[in-house]
Amino acid sequence: MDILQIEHLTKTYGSGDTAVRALDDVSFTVAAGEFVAIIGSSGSGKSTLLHMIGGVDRPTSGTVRLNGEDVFQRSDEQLAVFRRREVGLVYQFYNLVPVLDVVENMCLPVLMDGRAVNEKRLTNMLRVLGLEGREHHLPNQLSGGQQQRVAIGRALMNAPAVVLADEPTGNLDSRNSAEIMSLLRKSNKELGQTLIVITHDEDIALTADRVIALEDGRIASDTRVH
Amino acid sequence: MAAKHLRAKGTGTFARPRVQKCLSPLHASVFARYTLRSLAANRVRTAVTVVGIALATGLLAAVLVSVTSLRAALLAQSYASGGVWQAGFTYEDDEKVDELRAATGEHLDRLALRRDLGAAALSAESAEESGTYLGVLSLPEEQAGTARSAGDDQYAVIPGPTVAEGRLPERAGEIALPTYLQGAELTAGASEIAGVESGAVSDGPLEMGSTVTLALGQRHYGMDLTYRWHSGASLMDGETLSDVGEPRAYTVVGFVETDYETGNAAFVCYDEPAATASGEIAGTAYFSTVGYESASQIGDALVAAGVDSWSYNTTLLIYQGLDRGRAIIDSLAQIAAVLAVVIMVAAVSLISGAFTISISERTRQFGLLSSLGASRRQLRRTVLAEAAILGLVGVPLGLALGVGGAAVAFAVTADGWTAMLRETTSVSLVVAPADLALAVGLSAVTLLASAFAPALRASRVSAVDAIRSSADIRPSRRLLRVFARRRTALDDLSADRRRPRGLAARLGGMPAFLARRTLAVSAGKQRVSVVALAVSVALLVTAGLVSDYLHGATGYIDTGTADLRVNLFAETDDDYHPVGDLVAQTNALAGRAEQVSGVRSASVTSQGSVAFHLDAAGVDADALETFMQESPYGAYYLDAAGYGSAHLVLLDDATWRALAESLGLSDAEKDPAELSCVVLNAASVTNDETYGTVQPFTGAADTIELLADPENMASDQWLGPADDGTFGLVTTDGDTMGTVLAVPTDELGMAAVAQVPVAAYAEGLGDASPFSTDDLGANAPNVIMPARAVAASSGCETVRQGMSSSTVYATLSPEADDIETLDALEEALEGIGDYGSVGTYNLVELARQSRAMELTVNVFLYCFVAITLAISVANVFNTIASGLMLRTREFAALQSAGMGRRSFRRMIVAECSDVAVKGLVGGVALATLINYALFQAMSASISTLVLEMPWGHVALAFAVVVTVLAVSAGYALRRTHAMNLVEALRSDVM
Repeated sequence: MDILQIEHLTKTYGSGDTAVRALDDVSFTVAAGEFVAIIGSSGSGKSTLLHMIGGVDRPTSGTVRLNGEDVFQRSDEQLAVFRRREVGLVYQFYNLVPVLDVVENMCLPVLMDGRAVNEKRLTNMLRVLGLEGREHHLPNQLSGGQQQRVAIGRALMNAPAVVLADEPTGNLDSRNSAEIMSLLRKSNKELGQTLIVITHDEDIALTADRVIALEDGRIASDTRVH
Repeated sequence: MAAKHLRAKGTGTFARPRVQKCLSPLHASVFARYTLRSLAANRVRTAVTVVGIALATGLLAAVLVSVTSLRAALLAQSYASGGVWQAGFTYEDDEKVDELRAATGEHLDRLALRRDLGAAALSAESAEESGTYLGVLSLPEEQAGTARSAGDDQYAVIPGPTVAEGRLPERAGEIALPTYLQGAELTAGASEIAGVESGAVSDGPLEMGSTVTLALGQRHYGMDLTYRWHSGASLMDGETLSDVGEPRAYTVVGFVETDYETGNAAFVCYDEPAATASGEIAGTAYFSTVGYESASQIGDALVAAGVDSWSYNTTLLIYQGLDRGRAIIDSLAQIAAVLAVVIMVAAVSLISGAFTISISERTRQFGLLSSLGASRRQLRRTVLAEAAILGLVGVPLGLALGVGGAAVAFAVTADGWTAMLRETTSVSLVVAPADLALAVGLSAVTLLASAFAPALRASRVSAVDAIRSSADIRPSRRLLRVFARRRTALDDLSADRRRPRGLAARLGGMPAFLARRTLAVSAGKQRVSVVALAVSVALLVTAGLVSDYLHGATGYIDTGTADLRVNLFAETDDDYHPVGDLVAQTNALAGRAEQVSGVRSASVTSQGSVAFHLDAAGVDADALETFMQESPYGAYYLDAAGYGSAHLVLLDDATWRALAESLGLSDAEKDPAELSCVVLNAASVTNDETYGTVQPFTGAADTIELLADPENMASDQWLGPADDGTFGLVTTDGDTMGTVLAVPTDELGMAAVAQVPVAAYAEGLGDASPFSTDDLGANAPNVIMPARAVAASSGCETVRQGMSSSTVYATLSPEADDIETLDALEEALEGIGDYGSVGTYNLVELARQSRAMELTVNVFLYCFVAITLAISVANVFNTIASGLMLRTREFAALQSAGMGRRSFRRMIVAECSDVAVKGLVGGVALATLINYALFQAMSASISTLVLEMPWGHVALAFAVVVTVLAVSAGYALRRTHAMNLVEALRSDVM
């Protein structure tokens, strides 16, 4: 079953002579439980694509359907709700809220939605992420790897339809990178979490089910690895 | 790490010192460019900071210039009224003056001499009115040959006497006499001094052109002391007059005002030859100096000249800063110092806030620069260069603003200063280079103090800090304690797991929770805004307070609605009864006054007193008791039995009708021909400590009975209240000196001459009354009646005999000049035979003066407050706006985690409200303390003062706070939103 359908997605920045086509008529679908790696050189449109799927940026034309629903038919306020319920975003620079501690950061999307935090899921998550004993630390009291684990926890806490990770290991050393990727894969294998990861790292890309290569805003190749 | 590695490699490869030397000009320009670019990149903050610096400099310059100008005005006033002399001494030998010249040398600036020709004894008969002596002084004359004696004649060394009539003497044989001798006749005969005949004889009553013959001698007092020859007209114990010369005739050419300095003296010209038998005369030398640093140096010069007693022009020396004293100059200097400190503190907090923000915004940049090899000194200089550039723009701008502003303020308040200084000297702007230099210096210090700490911080930024960018998150101890208490992960959540734990989340949901947490984590930053706001609020409210108190202080002068007032006192016979009929004059005066050109309407009251009686039920005995206890006047002129003496106020027809109208009386009662009265039922019991009013009448009596004075009163008896409050014929007890009852009222047999119906008991006169309660009796019941009806009544004779004065209240026509009209009015009323002396009051002028003074103080007060407020507002704007802009990435993170715009806005509003509430509460609390202190200080002089908060100003402060926060937050959020969410999320350099 396709959880995500992207059709003729185009994004243009600027206008006239200076217009840049970051995405040019991109179409593909992702099945539930799939782990997709998106690769490409700088400026190929990877991050733009990810932000479209995450409802952070609006496309110039084309549609993104998640669970069959058109994401951009929503108002800004509805988009915010969409972001906290349907997607989990992980960034290269973690983007944790500096004033909230680990647990508060992880629970942020759930709390913002006014729903009850699933206690079992939270304790499990803290254990799996190796954040036990760090529950009440602020982000600046954590290492980079720990901060990224909190970010992953935040992305997974809501059991979103899709987790989107933009170079999640780009800022980490190899040991931490390996840990983070194994956590993400674990969520994919054990929880059936749909996962889209942008990466430069070929080794990471090769652990995905499928690799989509972007070039100048177009899909250059779409390869099933496993 | 990578950057550090690079630098290490570089050090190894190149011969570093040489390269650095070669590159240093390039470095300098790189850093200068970097500084300029970062200023340009934050245009709004740069502008706000420059404005802050300009305002601070401007305010400093304005305060200094104003104080100098005021000082100059006081000095000018002192010069104009008392002359420029600094010290003066009496000498009997002209050589003393030469010795002074020698002792002071080049320091002697101006010198004037006044000669004391001696004193003439008046005959005992003349002395009764005009004193024992008439002293004769020469007009002071400036001596040539000193530094500024030629040319500088704006002010006299010591001013001559003020001419009341005629002119000053110009040649020998002419004399100007003191005004009290005008019309007097100086006779021959024995004087009051044993064995001395009169030496002052006139050819009839003294007037212009009269001849007065004077034989002048020396007054001696004590053993060998020649006491000040001219001093005083009265006889000192054991004094003699000797060395009396030949009588000499003088022609009277003028009359002059007497003053404290010269006593009762006549003036002749400086060249008048000596007139004592020996030809000896004394003189007084007045001089000013330059180059001395204190009054004691002038004293030293006098001692060197052999002068053993002298007097200083102390006021002037204080104004010139040569003498210390508890004087206005000290207060001025203190005020200037206090204001300067307030300005500098406000400015330092603003400017250093701006720099701190500028530094923390660029933490990563500084880290990067440092990792690229910028030395700490270079980083520090970058910040100091930023300060220097801002100062170069802000300081000159501020000087221009300050001087210009002060000039405008002085121009606007010119009338007020003239009224306050009570002289014709005007306060004009004096721009001393020293003041400007001081303002620039203080501004530079302020800037340096502001930039120093941020510069130090910038130089200590390490590459690691920069990348972690963790410097801004400093959880409060309370928050750390809260975290430390939490054990399991679930401790962060409420019981139902739907909210974070805590009151804020329960009340306001996630936005409130986030706002609260942000404030707990960055308490230091927030405190800057709160303190700045609180100070602004306190300043604004205090300005309101001071202004209210000032207005209150001048508002207590109740003048009624009239513009001009003329008091006419009755001409009286030997029994102190008026010669004319003031009752009948009342309406005539009104008619006469209204015909004067410039008078729009006139009201006339005639005042007097009359004994009266009313039913005892109509008197409130408790109120009388309170009056006796509280008021400074003792007993009220009314006793519990209903006997008393009224302060009678008779009104002309129109004024009666207007009063009756305002009190809502019936048509019959409005008729001035109908005998009736209005009793003012209010007596002030305000004393030094408390304020209050009592109502002595119950209102139960419908009529009052006017009584004829008792016959055959002894000369030491009068009608009034005894010390126990009983009204009757009273006298002074020889033993206790108290007032005791001689004959009770019921035994006096005072005949009732008229029954007057009481039309109303009124508690006040109403806003339209031309006269005020201040014009009425303070310790006697005030009974107001129409003059026409009184004149027609059978009791008229009694009333007529008790009258003492009439008062004309006039309002001006719109175009009329108050001074001209008052003169015309006085002229029109002066000729009436029934009145003796006339007093005129220009109520418009009084009101104008008090308004001008109030305006002056308000202009300076509000200018200061407005500018300090502007500095604080700039501070709050910079802190709030920059604080929000620094959090762009945090906001982006919140939004990408699913926070909607509305929640986001609510979060920001919650944060700003917190700051606003704290700032307002703190500010109002501070203002309340100041209010209480001011109240304490002012109640000493104004007993009617009530402790009141100026709620209008509190509301204004509230509006200012809300506006400032809204504008700051609005601006910051627009800037934040302008940044693409996507960019914000990716931004690694802030």
